[in-house]
Amino acid sequence: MTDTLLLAGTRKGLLLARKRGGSWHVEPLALPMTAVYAVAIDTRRRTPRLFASATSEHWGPTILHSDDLGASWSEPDHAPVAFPKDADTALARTWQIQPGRPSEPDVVYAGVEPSGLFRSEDGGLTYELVRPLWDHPHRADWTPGAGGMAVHTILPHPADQARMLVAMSTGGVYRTFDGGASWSPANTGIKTTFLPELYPEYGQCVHKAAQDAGDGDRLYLQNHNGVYRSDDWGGTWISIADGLPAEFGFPVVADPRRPGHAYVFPLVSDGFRFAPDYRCRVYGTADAGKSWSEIGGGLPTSGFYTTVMRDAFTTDDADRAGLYFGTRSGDLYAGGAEGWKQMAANLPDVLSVRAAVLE
Amino acid sequence: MTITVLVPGALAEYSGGLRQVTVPGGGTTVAGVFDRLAADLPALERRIRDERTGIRRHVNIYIDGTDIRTLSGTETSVPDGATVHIIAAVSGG
Repeated sequence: MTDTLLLAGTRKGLLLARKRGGSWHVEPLALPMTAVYAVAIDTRRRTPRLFASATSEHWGPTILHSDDLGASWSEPDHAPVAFPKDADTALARTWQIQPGRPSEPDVVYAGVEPSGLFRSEDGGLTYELVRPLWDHPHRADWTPGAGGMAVHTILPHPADQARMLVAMSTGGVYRTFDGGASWSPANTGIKTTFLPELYPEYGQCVHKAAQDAGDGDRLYLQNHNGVYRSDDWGGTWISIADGLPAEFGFPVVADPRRPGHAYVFPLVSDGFRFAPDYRCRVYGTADAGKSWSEIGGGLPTSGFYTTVMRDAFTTDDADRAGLYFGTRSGDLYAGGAEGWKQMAANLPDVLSVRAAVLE
Repeated sequence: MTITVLVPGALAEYSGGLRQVTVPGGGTTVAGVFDRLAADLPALERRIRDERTGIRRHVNIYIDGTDIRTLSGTETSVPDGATVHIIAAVSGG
């Protein structure tokens, strides 16, 4: 029987849980008093390398890694991610840690606040700023949302090493066809409800995007008002919100094994950030957004006044993927179509969740 | 002559467990003290200053008991034999 490893970054530390023999064992909180905005499990190594972006209110941001499945955590003496002097800014925190493609096993990407992309070529120990995105002429127009201004989504194209897509709030989606040398906005069809122009070239408040399992050019996107799909790798986006109880929300995740399967956590609207009817519900599609249905039972059916943040929802990589999400009120759930179970409660607000099957 | 830097307990893991370290004196400033600290203990120094060498927002620095914000900030002169005290500000939740 396989094990499953789960990392949950919270506002005040990191939780590690392991499923053995069908039951979850949750370990004591690690990295206490740090906000763990991003976690990652790099399964390209024989023993997966774990990452945690940890920010201390007092002592600043860092990225730690573990090569013993969380028994110990390390970091370089010098800051793993730091802006060069001429950027005239300082790292606030890392919002996303994304291992690269299997063909480039030591490449890891980091999306940061203020909005920037960093690249590591030493397995995620040290990173360098991707200059062309930082120097983009649009950058002066990117503005912070309520949570800050950050690159929060990094999607290397699964088949084409030269292509990568990122998303930021606000700013929207940008993509490169030349390995990061140049970047262009990719927001056609994504609306804004907070700017005079309904469909600007850029400036959207994209909350999260995800890669379809089967089609390298198919993407899903949860916008600040709107759920979208692209079949041409961000060239154009079409609404797939019909069939959902609401089009607002933060996370979107795609099943890594089953094409056409994606999941969202709808909230009523940007002006009313509660689950419809105050019921905790995950919605899923099996046909790339043509239809949606509620996934599984066992979640709170009333009085649910909390939300799920953009990176606090994920899948594992099993053949039949498990789903996992954490709430701002500190509950952690595991499940899917067969039903949900609460894994942990009374945590600090959950900011980031990732899970992987251990061979 | 040297300058003494008092390290808060929360950062002792970055100073080899020491709560007190010394850096060379000789006509320097607060910025100079942390530049010298960075040469020997970079993992400690980056907790106190960001990559622009600014003191982090919730870190207070005292020279012989006086907050550098009431002096000349990081350009404040630090005489030989002085004590630089690093203290976490009241913040968080």
